[in-house]
Amino acid sequence: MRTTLKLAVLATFLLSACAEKITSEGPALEDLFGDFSLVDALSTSTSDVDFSTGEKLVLSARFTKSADWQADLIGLSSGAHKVITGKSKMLDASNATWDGSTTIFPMFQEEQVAIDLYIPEVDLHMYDTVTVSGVKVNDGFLIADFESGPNPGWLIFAQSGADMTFRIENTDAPAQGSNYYDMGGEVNWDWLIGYIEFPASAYQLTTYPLNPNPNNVYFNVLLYKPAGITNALALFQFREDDNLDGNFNGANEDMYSVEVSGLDVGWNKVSLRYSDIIALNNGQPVAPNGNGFHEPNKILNVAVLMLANPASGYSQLYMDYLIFTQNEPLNP
Amino acid sequence: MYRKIIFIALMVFSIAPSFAQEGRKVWLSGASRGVIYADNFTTGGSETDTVTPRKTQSGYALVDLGIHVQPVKNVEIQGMLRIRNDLGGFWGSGVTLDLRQLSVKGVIADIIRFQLGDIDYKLSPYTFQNSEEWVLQNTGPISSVPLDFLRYDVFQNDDLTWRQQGVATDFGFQFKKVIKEANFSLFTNRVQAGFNNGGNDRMIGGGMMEIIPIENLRARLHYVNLFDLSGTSNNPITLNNPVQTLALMYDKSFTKWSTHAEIEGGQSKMEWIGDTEAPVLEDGFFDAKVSAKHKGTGLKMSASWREVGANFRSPGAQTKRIRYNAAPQAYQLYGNQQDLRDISTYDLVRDASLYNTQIQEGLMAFDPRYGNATPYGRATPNRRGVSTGVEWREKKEKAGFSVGFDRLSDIVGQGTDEKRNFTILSLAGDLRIDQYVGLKHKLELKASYQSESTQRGGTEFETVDLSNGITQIGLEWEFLPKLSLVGEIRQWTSEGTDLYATRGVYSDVIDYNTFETKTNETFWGSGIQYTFSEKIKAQVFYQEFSWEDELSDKLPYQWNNWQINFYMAF
Repeated sequence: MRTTLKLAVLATFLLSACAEKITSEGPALEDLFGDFSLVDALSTSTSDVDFSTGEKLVLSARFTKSADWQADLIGLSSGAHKVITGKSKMLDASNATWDGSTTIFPMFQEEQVAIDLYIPEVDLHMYDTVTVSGVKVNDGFLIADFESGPNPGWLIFAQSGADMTFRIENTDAPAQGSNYYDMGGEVNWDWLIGYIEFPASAYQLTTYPLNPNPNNVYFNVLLYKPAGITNALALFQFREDDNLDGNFNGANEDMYSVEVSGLDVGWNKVSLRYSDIIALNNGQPVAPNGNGFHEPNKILNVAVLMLANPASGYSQLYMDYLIFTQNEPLNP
Repeated sequence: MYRKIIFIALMVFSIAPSFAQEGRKVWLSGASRGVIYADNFTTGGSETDTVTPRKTQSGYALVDLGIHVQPVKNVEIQGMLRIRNDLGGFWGSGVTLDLRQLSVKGVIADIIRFQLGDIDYKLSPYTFQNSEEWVLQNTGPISSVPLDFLRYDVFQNDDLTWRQQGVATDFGFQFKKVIKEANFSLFTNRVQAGFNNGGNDRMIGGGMMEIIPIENLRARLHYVNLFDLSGTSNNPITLNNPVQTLALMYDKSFTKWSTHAEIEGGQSKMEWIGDTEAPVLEDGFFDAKVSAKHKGTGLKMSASWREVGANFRSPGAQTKRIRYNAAPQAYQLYGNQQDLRDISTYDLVRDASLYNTQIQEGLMAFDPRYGNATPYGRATPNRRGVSTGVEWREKKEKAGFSVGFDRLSDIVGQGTDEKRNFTILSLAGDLRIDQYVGLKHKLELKASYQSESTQRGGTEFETVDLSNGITQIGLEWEFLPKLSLVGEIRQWTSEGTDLYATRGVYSDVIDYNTFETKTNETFWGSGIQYTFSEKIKAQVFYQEFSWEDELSDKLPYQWNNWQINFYMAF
């Protein structure tokens, strides 16, 4: 009996002793509530970064405690603006890496970039500059960036309304490069102001060269709404060649559409997963007329229709950088 | 709805003859009550509250009708229906009919007991036990009435069992050699149903194996696991949280004293299988307790020491009764700005929606004002220290008292090497004055005091100091046969500062919120009670409750209430 008792007591102790012990719990209070001071000032991993080769810029700094911080990187020529924020004791590759992307348009160009690292808690700014010698390359199928003028394969139609500016322009700040497409005008007899069709044949293709899984394909476009414009409506249509006969027949083939309106003033990024785009008729969801499958690899034609209520007067949108991306939305 | 009620009524009456003819094959049990509240809410502060409705009348009448059917000797089927009619419901509107509980229990071959359906189950304080909340350990004769209603409604039973849906069985064997007895108890309950794009089916199951090698010694091996069934939803991540403990209990009786010694130790592991970013939390605990009771005087003393690791996770033992991140239903928004009202102790005795009825993974949120030292009961992680207690009860129940004192500390500091120290004190006593002064009818005084303090030294941001205290006095005087006056006064305070640990999805500490309070809650109530029998009472109470936090931007308020209760059990 005594042996049984001893063994049982021993087993009890052993069970509890087997437990993994930890030495502390939670983030250090010193990091959260201690006094702030700078250990290492702002520095960059390089003074010249070429994003086109996949290179990245890493910001570094170190403090005595964890603090909220914000790094603003501003292109001195383009005005492009990248914002990186965090709360930490240290800026390093894990939380302060810039891949050349943009937070506020336009996109960065090959230019000097000013860096401002700000710690609000102590109202501290630290500055640096870096040269961008190569801009970020976005993977995907670029439909149009309007940099080399209109593709002869595109089909462009503009109504003969008032103040029509349905053309490539470079007078205002583009989202990318130098050019954008200005879709402005007043048509008081029709919703349509103008349209552009981007058939696959314009790129010497039978259909767009996209992944067949619609969950993996994203359509992206950058749209600019001028101040004071409230009636702009952009309709994007994706026409599939379900039977692969080289033609689109709206009666028995799928066309998926999306209406874009209510944009903020300035440049906006619109990214849509292809599988989320539905069939529309006069703006209302309907069943697609074809096989009903989203098949991005069968897209024959992408069309952009600039619309506005004919009673609402002048309307305008700028458009730039239409691109299909795979697996994730555009990270411009 | 009325057709349903008529059908049930006919069903009940139709079985009544068999009740009479065939003895205890079918019988009824149940409870009934009617409650009416007349509330008057007054927002304090310098600005008159012109938005919040001040006066509300509410109430309900309900009947719980339990039907027991014993088709064969060793099997009993129990179903209980609840018919409830809220105040203001006429001609069927506002009437609800619910199946409150349904279970089958029985004995197979006179050996294996089983229970299926709604079951009440409990193991040890570290594996599966519905621990009492510290703030509600002592309640007076007024506040305990709605609290008892509420606990009955949400199955927060006095025996600390969890009401769950599942199956339980227990059986035992007796031996002639080596050991005297071996007993087994097994259970499994479904905690949540899986759904696509959400969580998987979640189960909790386990049991206890008890070995009795000699007369006074019991060894128990407990195992409980909260786990997800993979494949019951599209979610590829499954929770697995097993807890295993070994407990030894030894009783020894001497001439004047009977003694009891108990130790329990074990460990837990919490993991999210399929989630590469999730940590694996493993830790253990140990608890040793001795107690002695003097046979002559009824004096009982106990002392214990325990250590519960910071990563010890036992959902069956650590799940809280109260959902502190919920909002109270009555006067939820108040003041001209319609601020969300904080939970108060008055809500805790009235509002069933604040109560949790399901086992939860990880560690639920708690309010440091209402229990900071042991928010998860005895199994509160990251605690080490001693608990002592003295109890005495006069043999004829004329008087009694209890004193408890705990001194605990963090095992590991939260964000610092400094550790918090917790001191818990509880004093409670009751006195049947009528028994001592020779009154014919009952005159009973009850009083209690509870306090707990949390302290930590160190630098300015490490220092914490939070004190909570509850003082309560209750009186019940039967001034005419069966007719009593009852009264209760309670004051609760919370003052000081602590850093409240914010936990992430993996129940690990990810941040701290500075918690500062200087709150004062005062409650008094009095009323009259007519006792038809111990199970049937009618009461009329008047109560006043006031709340104020001097450090909060929340407005103070006063909440007066007339309450009429009639309840019976049968």
